[in-house]
Amino acid sequence: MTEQILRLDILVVEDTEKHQSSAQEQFKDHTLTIAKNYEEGEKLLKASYHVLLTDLMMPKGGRKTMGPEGMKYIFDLLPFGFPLAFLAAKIRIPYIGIVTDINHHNHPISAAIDPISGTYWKESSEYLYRINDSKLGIFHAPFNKDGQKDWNKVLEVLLK
Amino acid sequence: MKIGIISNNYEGPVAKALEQVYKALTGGEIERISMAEFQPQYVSQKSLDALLIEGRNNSDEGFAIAVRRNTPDTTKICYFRIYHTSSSQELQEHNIHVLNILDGDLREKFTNWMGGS
Repeated sequence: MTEQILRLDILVVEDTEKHQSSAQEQFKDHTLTIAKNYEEGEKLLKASYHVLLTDLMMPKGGRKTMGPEGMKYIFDLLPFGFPLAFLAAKIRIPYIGIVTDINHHNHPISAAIDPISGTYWKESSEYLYRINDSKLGIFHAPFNKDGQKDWNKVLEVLLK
Repeated sequence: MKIGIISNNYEGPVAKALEQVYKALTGGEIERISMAEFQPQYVSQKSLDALLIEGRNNSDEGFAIAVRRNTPDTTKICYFRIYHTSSSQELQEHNIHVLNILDGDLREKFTNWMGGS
């Protein structure tokens, strides 16, 4: 009997090349789109995706709506993963994951997600949330042996 | 010294003048970078020692400050403006050198900047 493989339409928003590479390697059996920053992600995000997996911290990636004050911050890594996740929930993308590789000792925003993400990697449904019809998970990333994000592990938890 | 010239309009007279002035004064290598495409990591990827930013409006000043905040302190940054649209105080506070194209002693000022620390 041949096992039926579920082919998903996945959007990954990630600014770090090594984590983009692991998404490409791990999601060969799915239809994968990669956005490299917030603006690309926002532009590509549409209801037809089954899954959004987004980094937490990333640059804005463009000048849209920015005046002179806002321009000063366009290269800063900011927690754009949250607005992207809520935007995905607004358009009812079924599975959404925010996945950070930042150790909680190294950045306040990483420490701030400890209580809502279960600190380090845990395969637990306790840290999954329902928004509209979407299932949202917030994760400190699991890693493969090369230190890349293990996106597949995240996807498995979301799909359970 | 390798310099990156960041401009919104390479066909415009300012960017062309900047290239000519730089080549005449130093003979150094130039990398043209569009303002829309620029990323802070280009500085290390392209081994740039200095950045010359063509400033046309207040938003470009914000852009220059964003570049300063996200590139190494050792990277020299010059904001090259056509008009006195605002005070250059904030740019200077961020260690961004300001040159005005209408300054009479532009050549000297440019040379001083290139030679200074």
